[in-house]
Amino acid sequence: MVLGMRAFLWRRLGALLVALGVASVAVFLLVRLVPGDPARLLLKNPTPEKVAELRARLALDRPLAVQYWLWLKSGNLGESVVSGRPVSADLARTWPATVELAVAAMVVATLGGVWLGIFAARHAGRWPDVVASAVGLVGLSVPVFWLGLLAMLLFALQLGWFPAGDRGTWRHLVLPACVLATIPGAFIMRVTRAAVLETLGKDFIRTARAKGAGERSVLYRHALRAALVPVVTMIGVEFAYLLGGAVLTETVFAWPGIGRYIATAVLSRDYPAIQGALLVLVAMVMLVNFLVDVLQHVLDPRLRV
Amino acid sequence: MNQEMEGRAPSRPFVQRGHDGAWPSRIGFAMLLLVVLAALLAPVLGKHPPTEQPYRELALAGPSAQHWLGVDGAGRDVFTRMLYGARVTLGIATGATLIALAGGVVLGALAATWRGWFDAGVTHLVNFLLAFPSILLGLVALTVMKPSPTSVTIAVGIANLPAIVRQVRAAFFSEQAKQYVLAARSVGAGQWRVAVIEILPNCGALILTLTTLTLGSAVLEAAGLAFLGLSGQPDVAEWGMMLREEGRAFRVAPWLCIAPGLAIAWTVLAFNLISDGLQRR
Repeated sequence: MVLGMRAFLWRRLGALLVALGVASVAVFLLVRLVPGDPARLLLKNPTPEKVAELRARLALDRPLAVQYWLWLKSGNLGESVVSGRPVSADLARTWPATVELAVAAMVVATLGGVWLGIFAARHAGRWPDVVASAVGLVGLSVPVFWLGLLAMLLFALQLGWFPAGDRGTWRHLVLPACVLATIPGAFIMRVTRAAVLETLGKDFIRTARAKGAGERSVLYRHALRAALVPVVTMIGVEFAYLLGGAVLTETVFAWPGIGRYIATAVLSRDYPAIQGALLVLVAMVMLVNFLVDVLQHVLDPRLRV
Repeated sequence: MNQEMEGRAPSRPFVQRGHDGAWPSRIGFAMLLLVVLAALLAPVLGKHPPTEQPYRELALAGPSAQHWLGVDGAGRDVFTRMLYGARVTLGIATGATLIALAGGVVLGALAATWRGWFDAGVTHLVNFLLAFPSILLGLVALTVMKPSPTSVTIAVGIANLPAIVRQVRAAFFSEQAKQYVLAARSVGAGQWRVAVIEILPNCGALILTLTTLTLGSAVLEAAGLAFLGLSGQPDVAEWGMMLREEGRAFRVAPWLCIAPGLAIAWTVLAFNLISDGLQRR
């Protein structure tokens, strides 16, 4: 389909808005899927009066469409049943922490993964490659929450280099970011290795070698540039993963972000909080995918014609 | 799960010679065998009760001849719980994988066979869900269920379903254009006969790979959800749950955190090695 940049942007923006609308309805309806009366489930010792009072407060006695409208209209996504604060206030406090952690982890994962991938590809088939590939596979298999505990044990409690948990200075950020970066880093390593190996077999590399370019220049100036395209496109997918992985990492490190917020909310059945946090997470994932789509369109002229 | 499918590198021999992928698979199978043995022999090898708390006075004790991996904070023998944990973990992973496979194969095959609005709907939904990490999907599924190992199984199964639908649907589409399918159609086979008797057996290799991949990610996700406290009562011997319980005391008794995490990583690595070997074939 021939689409100009402007038309593409409008189309994609429209799709984003529609998807957000659908997602908000889905997130809203999710809680109605809970068997039983949410008001009754929320109360420790439900007396009929208390249940009726909570039902009225949560507007559970109104029709679904009205409830949805009230939820949107309230502008604060309702009140957390556990803390009593507006969910929007909690989310406004937690989302910057999650973005900070995810961005830091993305940087670590990209640098580490690309470096290890090139290293493995350069020694393809020999023992450094075997070791690097094994490290990549192990990185995909280790549970992040365990890695987090071990990292805290070694670097915080034994060596005392970094604080154990909580958010604050950059020193607080190092351990959680590195732990969260393991799985995406391992993926990036595998993709980079495969892409570099594939590119090294291409004709233009042979041409570069034939011209007399040195091995270093072939690798870094010719092969790597072409090989990084799939890596860049992976970043969008990886960012979505990071927001999910953040649930576990934030819990281990007591990092005050959305991930830990939603985990505690699910555990304490705090439905307004679950709804609000899900909506924000879904919106974040969609926004990142939107930006990656636009970026690809800008970077790769082939998509524009 | 979707991560694995997206990011999976095109097959490259691990070591250039003998590139039949036998070695990773063999190592993976050997590692898995150990876990299966632990699960089967749990009552024989574990000399202590897994869920009662008979050693309260020994709580947080270190490894000893009596208790090889120490005693947890509630007074239970950790080694015994590790063995029973293999049962719970393999059970949850198998159940979740069966759910994901059954649902994924049926939906993918239906979408590819029916096409039209059904296919469009399924594809849209799957693409939407694949944008989200599976642990988040599992968390969503668990909001509507009571915390228990069964709920975790269902949640992890649902979380892994979209990736399988996408793969199976794509495989069906590419098979449908092949000669043997056209031949079957030309002699009058109906679309259901073609789908079930002709195409499905030819997707066997793909389904096998998807099974091992899903088993690995199911172990990891189930452990993660259990670590968040969503697998119900803490006396269930589940590795993720054990890490949650013992992680609380990790400042005083750090050795208790080693075994459960190692066991999770070991099992996931076993499945990943097997699927890596299968994909290189």
